[in-house]
Amino acid sequence: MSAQSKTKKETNSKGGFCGQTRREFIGNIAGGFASLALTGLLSTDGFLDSQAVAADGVTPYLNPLEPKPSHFAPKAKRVIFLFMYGGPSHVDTFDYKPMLYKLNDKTVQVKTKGRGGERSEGRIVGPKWDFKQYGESGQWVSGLFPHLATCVDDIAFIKSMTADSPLHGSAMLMMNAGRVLSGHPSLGSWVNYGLGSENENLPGYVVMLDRTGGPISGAKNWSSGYMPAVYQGTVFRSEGAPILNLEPTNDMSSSEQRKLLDYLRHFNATHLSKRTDNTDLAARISSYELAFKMQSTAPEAVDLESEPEHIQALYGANEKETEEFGTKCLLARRLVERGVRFVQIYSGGAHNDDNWDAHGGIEKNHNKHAKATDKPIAGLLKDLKQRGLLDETLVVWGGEFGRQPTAEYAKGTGRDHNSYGFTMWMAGGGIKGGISVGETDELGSAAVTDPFHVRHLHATILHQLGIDPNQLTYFHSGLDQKLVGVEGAEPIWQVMS
Amino acid sequence: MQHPHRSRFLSIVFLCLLTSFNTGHANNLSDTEKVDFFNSQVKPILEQNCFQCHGSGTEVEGGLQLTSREQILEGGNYGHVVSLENPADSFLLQMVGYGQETAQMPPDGRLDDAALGILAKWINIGLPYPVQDTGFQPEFKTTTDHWAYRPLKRPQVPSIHASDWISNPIDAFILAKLEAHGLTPAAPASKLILIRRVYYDLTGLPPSPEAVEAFLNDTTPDAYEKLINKLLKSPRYGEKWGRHWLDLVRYAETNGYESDSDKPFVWRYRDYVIDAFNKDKPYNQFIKEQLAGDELDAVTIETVIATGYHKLGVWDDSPADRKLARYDYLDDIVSTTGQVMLGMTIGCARCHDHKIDPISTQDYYSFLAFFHDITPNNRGPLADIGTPEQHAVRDKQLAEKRLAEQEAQDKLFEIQEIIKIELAKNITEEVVPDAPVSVMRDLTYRFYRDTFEQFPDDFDALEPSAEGRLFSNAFSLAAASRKQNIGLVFVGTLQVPEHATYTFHINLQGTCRLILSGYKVAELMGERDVEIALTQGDIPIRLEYFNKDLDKPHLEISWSGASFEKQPLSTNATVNFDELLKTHAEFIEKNESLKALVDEQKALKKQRDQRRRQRVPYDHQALAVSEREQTPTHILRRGNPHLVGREVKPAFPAVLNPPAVDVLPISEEAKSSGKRRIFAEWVASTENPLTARVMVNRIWQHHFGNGIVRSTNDFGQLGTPPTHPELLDWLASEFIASGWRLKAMHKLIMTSNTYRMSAQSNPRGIQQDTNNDLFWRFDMRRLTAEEIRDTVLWITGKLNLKMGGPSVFPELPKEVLATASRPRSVWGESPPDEANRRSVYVKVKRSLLVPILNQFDQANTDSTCPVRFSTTVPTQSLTMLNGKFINDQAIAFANRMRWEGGVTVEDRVRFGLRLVLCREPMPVEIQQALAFMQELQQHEGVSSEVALDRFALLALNLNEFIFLD
Repeated sequence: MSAQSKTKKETNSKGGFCGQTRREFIGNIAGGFASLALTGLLSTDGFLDSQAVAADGVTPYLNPLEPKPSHFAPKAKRVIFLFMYGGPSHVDTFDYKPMLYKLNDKTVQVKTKGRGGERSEGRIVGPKWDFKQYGESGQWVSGLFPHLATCVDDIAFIKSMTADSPLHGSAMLMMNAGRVLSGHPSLGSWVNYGLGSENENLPGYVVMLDRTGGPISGAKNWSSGYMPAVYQGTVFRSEGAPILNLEPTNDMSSSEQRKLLDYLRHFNATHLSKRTDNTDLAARISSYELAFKMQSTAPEAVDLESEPEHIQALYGANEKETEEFGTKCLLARRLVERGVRFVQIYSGGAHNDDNWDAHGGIEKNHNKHAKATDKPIAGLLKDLKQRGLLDETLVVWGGEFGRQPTAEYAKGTGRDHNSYGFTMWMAGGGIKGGISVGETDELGSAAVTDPFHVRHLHATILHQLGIDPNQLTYFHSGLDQKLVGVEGAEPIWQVMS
Repeated sequence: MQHPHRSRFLSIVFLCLLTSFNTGHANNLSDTEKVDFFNSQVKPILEQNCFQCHGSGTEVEGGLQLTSREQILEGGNYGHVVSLENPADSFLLQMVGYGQETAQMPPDGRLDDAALGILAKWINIGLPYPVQDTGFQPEFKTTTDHWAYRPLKRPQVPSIHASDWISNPIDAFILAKLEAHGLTPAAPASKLILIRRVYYDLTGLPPSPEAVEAFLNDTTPDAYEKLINKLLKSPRYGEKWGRHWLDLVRYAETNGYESDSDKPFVWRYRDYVIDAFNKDKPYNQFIKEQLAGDELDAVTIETVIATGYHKLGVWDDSPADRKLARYDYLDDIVSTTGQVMLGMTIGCARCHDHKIDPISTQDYYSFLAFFHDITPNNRGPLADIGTPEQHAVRDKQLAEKRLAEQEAQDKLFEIQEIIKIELAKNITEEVVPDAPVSVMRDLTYRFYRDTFEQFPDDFDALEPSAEGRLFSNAFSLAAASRKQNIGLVFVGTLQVPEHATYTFHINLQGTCRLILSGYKVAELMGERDVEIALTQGDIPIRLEYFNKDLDKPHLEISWSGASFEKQPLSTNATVNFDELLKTHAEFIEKNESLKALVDEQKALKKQRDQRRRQRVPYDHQALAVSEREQTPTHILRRGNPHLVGREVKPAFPAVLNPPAVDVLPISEEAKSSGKRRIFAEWVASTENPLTARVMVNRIWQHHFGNGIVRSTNDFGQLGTPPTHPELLDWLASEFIASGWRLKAMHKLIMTSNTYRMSAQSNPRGIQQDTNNDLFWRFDMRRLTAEEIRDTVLWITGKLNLKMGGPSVFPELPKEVLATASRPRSVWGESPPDEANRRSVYVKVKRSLLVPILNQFDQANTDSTCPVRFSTTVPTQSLTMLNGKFINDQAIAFANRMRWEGGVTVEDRVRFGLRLVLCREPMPVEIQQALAFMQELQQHEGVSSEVALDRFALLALNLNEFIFLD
């Protein structure tokens, strides 16, 4: 811990690019991120040696998804982000608050802020599930997650998360892109921008959505913002062709297509012969070959037939209630195995009870979504572990915020949003298992001990990938933009092994 | 002046910290160590927490400046702040330690203990403050002379030895530099290359084979000039160049965020931009209209639409912090305006002085002050841009709609009363809230909807709009289907219990006439009691009611007699009729005639509801700027809207030596403060050193692929300096001299030989100037997203060139729709020919991107986009090989080859390639195409028809089609 924090302080004292011109700055951060980008120049087959420039019209933009060395030795090589869209209730899942059972239905003074506005008192809804301690480490887990409970010794719970917004739209943007403002690149985009991806035949940043629909704001959640579109998430489907336009249409066979590509290459090669200095032309020729390879690689990646039955069963991929999320978790494992850098899976989509947004009643909603995800997630952790992949795969679980300890309405058990305090967890990828860091107050209404902001979570994810969160920058609109904001953020050192 | 709390109060923590340092050997530090300590530890604290108010700006809070040792020792309004003799007593330490209540610094939160310790140590070791260290002092002396801020002067055109190559002064500027570097300009491009280049540059579409042929055959010396003139007159020009502007102003048609709701009528702004380019509106006027079209001397519909500029950005309708969201909205305008119109990244000074450019936080908020009063809501209010005739049409339609609804309501009311009566006949228990009063019988109503000027004397001479029985046997305004301009006549029988004097208590809004036994008892407004002697038995009762224009008509009548207290004769009970039917559903089901009535009732209700819901379309509205009230602007410390600093007045950035701003007091009738007009006139003035430079650079950029200043949105020190500063200034001067006309600049640039060079490379150029900063050749470019889609549609003959109006919705794959949280309603539907309009008319929805446009790097719409990316990735190839759009178009293209290309396959292929390549295909290319199709037929077993379809797809994937020489 100390070594890294020292590095950070040194860069801070230099004051970023203060006092330097843009050009000097680019030159001076050699050893920082610019050198990562420069390695792209060495690309062997010339593919993507693009002469394009970034939106500032200055920064050369090269070979975007070529793997790039990290700032320092990474603990994790890739990330699976399990996004519990809608906001799971922390006090009903992992943040055990005995007081809430006692206060059930009592009106208490507590400051809350959700879609219903700010309130200073409310009726407590006692958790509807019993908590027990699990594992050697004795982590608390509610009855919602019997399978996941068997994995807690691999999990670090962060029970003092905070975010800037208790409203879905802006909170989703914050959890995905670090800001409540629209227009910034998402975490997966930053990771691909910083590290590239290891398999050029698959997208480096994959997003899998719920059958009911995308989350609020749709594609904004995996947008590359002001970065080029190559860094945006690619939506992967677990049924049919995994990627849009992956299969030939109009009854074209693969061998027909191959012939088309051969002739196309011939035409293009003639065109190139008089313009040999233009690498964009060559890049486009190669891109067709890559596209052709992708057509076979991507379906292979999603071909679950090759997975033995007991593995499918481990994920619950063969049971009705867990089939959807289980399949996606299994796919996620297959994708990271094949070098995809960042995979995000949404549990829940669309609106209301189609996701974790339990305004109407906590029991029905959370029973449904926990049931659908518990076994698959536990299966994913176990499978990664038994394959030795968990060590280098960072798994992140959580929603855009948590929920209030009090009821939203006069009647019922529905809970409104809560960004003052909530729980997320991480596992694998150099994360210390069997611990909990941070605390909310005795009602679970707000983080009080070691509060962590979404920025700290992002900093932790980047750090585990070997990226200094405060040095990963992208020049836009006159500023060196960072995922963790202008002021930077420290990773959560406590969760690191 | 001594502060009363000046001394003797230190927090415990603080004493501890001081102690710990005193026990060390701080004072034994060498001078170098002290300087290092200051630079590494103290300076960051001062920079981050103090200099915004106590730096070297013109106004210093509390008279205390912390930018040198002398100033600190001198102190401020509170007196001395540092005691070197008795460091622990220093007032500065008390302030930062929050040791007393009146002066706590910094005001937005106490520093952490580590920082406090550092400051204590600093004073303890004698307040070292290296004088030579001025790097962080926001004085900007070195930067005021930055090239972009210097007044614009028309430079001399370089005199070059006579050269055939020089067609106009642009070439002289370019050639002078090339020669200085020992480079020569590339050979001229062929006419074939040139016509394709100018077509795309000016219209975003390729030339037709006929146009190519005509140009090749035109050997007159001015053939090229004529071509440019023709294209500049084409309406396609505005669609192409308007799109460049739309990129800059982050044009989108929804607000983004959770609901991503529509910006109504925002397309009028898009049409305004296209039209402005097409009619060559002077650029200075173009700017003024967008910034302050509502405040100009001549406000027109057009200038009002132009102000939609202020409403284009993202906007969160349910933000977590409303105050912050308000300033985010304003910041978006400030940042966009600064970068787009002035090439200044002024937005960087929101939280602190600009790190590099001479823009202070005060400049930022003074700049923001011009826009501070803009009404924030992006959805409205909408400006009404209708003419009196259009208003009349709308009013008439509205009146018709209301009448239709009222007529339906009348019928519904009538039948509901009948049903209630029928129900009451059969059911003994009390069925409804408006249960009948017992003293009246057989009460009927007549409802008059004519527009009365006054209370009619004789209703019986008029035709009622509706009439019927009243179940309640009580007077009720519910019988009227509207509130104003109504007459109601109630007729029935009153049962008088005995000979006696009775009092009628009347209280109403409106006018009424009470007639008993044919005798007018009263005619009144307001409240009154009327006494009258009545004989026992049933007597006719009649009440006439009239309301002309009261919003809340009201009628309340009761009576009392010797033997009874007040009894109501009127009711204002409302009945939930559906509830009523539900309650008696079983009974109704058994009674056929009643059931028929109920069914009829349901039909009438449906009709009424339909008419009520029917919207009268009124499209003569625009999303435009408005101001609600004038409020002062304050500096927000660290950009935090909850840390309000001192007030600032509107002012231009100081570094530009701007004129003073004089905002006149606002007149009674003015709808806005006039501040934006002052701002607009300064931006659009010939004195402004940036405006013309920034715009000519953009024009250059879109002709050559790169600007003379490559960072086209940033002319500050973080941007790149101009490769040809004199040329830039010369062009800017020409631009102003031409009356800020873009078309004149296009012609000037395009008739230069610089523009007419080929893209051919040569080793020397590549070696010496890989990036082509000196413009020794023309840079090839990939077509833009819009150009690709539009050209594909153009080639297939499907492109619909209809201009303007609401945006269209090309069909999207369901997989793409499924990414939205409301997959079914997120996108609209347009008929095929509408969907095939130019891409500039395709709906721009922030949360849902059209794949082919998105993949080919359309502009990001959340912030200003000065330069498009040009990426090459496999997913683009997948889209162009397998996508539905391209495959549908390939078939359409093949069909066009069949129908228009002749009889033989060879002719068809030639016809197709001509369209795709804008040139006559070479025999070898046709042979290759034929070989491809034969191979498919022989080895893949496809028909000759399908083979042509495949060839069409191949042709649309050619590099030569996607790239421009």
